[in-house]
Amino acid sequence: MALALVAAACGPTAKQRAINAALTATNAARDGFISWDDQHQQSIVDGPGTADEKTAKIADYRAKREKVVQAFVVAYSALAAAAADQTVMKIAEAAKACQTAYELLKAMMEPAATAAPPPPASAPPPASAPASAPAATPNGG
Amino acid sequence: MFDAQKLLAENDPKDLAKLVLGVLSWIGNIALPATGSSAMAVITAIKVVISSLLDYQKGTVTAEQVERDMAKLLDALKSTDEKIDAQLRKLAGKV
Repeated sequence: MALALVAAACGPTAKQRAINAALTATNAARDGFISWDDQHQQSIVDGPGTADEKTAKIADYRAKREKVVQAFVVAYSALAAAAADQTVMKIAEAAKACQTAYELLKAMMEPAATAAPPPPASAPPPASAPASAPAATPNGG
Repeated sequence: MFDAQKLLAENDPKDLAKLVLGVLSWIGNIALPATGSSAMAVITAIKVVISSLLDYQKGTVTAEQVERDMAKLLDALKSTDEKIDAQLRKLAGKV
């Protein structure tokens, strides 16, 4: 998304507009992340299981979340660098970092939205099928 | 009330359209599938769009602004973690 915004930008003030658009898109993803994180953790606490099991689930989730948080930190740091030094290279790096953060966030959130669908009763047992699809891992380049 | 006409009149239509499409794409790809298509999810998504569009109008981005935006994420996650940890301690009978 951010890459598309940057790629489409042109003209004398395009750099600033590209940074602005990338930051806005990242902030939108951030706000959704914050809201979803709260709902997700709360759903674990309110869900079934003992206190120890819930604590373990929360710890597991936070460990997975850390990768996304770090991607956002990288994205914001790149945006700050681009804002300070508005070269095409810096802006492109920032856009790529924003895109990576967005993709990691999407990968983390999507399995939760479709988590644990019960297998149909008539279906044959899966033969060593993976528990879940691997998360998308965009290349950092 | 969110005045979309005014916002469009005051911005470069090309850039704004791209921004709106990007945010709408985010809603379609993440917000609604993640939270379910409940009314609350739609309201939350719309709030995100509006705040994003208002952010977009702020003008020149500075490194300090970006750092503040990043701090908002870290602070919000920390606040949620503390709230959840308190609930877990209560569940475990440690409070």
